Amino acid sequence: MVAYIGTASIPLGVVFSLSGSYRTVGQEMANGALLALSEVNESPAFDFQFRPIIYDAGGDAAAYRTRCEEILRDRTVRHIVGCYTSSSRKEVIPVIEKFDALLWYPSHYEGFESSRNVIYTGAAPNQHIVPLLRYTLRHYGTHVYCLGSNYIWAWENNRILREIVREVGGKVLAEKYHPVGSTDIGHFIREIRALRPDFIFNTLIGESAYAFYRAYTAAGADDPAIGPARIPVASCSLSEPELISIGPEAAAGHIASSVYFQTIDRAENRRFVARYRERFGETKVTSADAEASYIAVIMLAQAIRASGSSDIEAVKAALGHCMLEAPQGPVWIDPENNHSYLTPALGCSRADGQFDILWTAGAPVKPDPYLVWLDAETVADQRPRQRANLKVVR
Amino acid sequence: MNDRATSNIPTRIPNFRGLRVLILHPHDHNCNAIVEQLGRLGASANICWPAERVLADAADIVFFDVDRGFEGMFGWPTGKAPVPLIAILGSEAPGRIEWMLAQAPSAYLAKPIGSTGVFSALAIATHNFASHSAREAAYQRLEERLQMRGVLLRATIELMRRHNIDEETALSMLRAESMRRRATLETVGCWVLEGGWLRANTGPPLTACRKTERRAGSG
Repeated sequence: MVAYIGTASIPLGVVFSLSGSYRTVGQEMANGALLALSEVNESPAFDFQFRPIIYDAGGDAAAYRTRCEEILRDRTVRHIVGCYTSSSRKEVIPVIEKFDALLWYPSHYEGFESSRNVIYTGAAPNQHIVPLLRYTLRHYGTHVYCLGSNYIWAWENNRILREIVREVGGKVLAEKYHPVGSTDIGHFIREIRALRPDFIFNTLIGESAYAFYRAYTAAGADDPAIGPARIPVASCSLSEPELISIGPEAAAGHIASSVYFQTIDRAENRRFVARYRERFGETKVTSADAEASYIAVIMLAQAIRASGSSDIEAVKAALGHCMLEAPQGPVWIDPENNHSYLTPALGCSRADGQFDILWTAGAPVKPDPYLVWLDAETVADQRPRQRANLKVVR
Repeated sequence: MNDRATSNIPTRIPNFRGLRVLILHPHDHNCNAIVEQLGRLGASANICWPAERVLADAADIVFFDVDRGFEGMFGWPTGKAPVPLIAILGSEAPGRIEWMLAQAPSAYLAKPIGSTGVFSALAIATHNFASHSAREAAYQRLEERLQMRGVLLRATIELMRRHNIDEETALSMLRAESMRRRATLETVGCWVLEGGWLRANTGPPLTACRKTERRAGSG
């Protein structure tokens, strides 16, 4: 057992991709973790200090594994916060399990996993794609065009979508995959124009997604039959920093499912945003990825304080009694599957790079990583065929 | 670019909510890991150890320990489990593998059991068991019909002799009767040899036979 005595220094591995193709998100996640870490270290409420061991995995899945192995070989390190893509997490888990350490994984992902050595602080599929479809199938219709980057995140989300759409009697008009990083998307616009779906489900990531949003918005300006105002684009990953990357001309009118938006009106969130800017720059925006990393580190600190130990079994036991008033709302860990109770919400993006909140679950939702409790046929129990205009509910 | 055929929709997302699982394995960390994972999947687990002549009456699927498995562990003939079996394999000694294969498991799970594997083992086992059962049933049907070919031949000859008709007409009679009864040709053949038509004293519907000759379904 790795116990600590007051004013002890507890090492914490921080492994994200600060460089490489998805560095924007990696940097956000590292920022969230580092912000939480300094809050803990500066707070008199905690009688220990975190000592960060920061590594850049550079977007290389194998590097995550070797970095984590380096960190854990020093047996005093029991906790690592890190990983973004599922492939990086899958590389790291065997190492984490071998050293019986704890990985704090702060990203929404496709689910169907539950390691006893991982705490998942991002959204599970019942907290991202299911509420998104509940809304879009009811408000726009059941004919869907699916477009995604050619890897597991897109495949598995579309797999869930296909099942739900089939159960409600809808139709997947096309399911298209595009190489990660490729920005050659003109033919998708032509196809969308020809097929006229009710909405587009977008699982493209990074530069491919940004290029699509720009081209699609431009196409809508020429042809009023398409474009975000007529046939909206819905996504489970679009975030505030990405809207900045897309640019103000094409940032507006897209639907995102997320457990966090910077516009959430809560004192905890206002403080989070203010501190984030204070530390990383006035122009910085917060995001679900930054918030999930922040939650991970604060929850870890709370559990260490409650148990008086950084031993992972003690921390996990203490987590069962920890609840955090996070920026998004109350958050706690479900001891059954190590995922988090989070509050799903839907936003519609604006030109200024922020989201208007369209809908919120209003309370934390139990994580269901295996979709055990999904009854696909009930996702759209009303099936209006008329198109609704986007309405802001608050 | 990669386009998936949307018409070729796969089966549902595997869901094991409410599944009743029987685990034939000593209570230890491997067993606990399986029980934990089953709980997350909404399935219920019943552990039975030591296991002897176990039946699967109250189970939808059975996990069993290969390392300590023995003849007489199951209450059904070897390899004829009524539900899908999942083998929990530690030792790779040839004798153990041989014994395991004889039980005809539908999926395998290697020790030590970690946080992964149970979900995919359940998905693989239920899929394999269903397709194996379907194949087995089709094979049974073919086997029965193969054995009945002699009966069909004898019934045809019997009708040819009885009514002084040619082989084709006799077969047409059998076909028409098989269609009318929605029974196999072999079943009708059996009935003819047992004295049907003669006993029923109705006489063969020869004209009907001739009309349906070309349209009648094959055997």
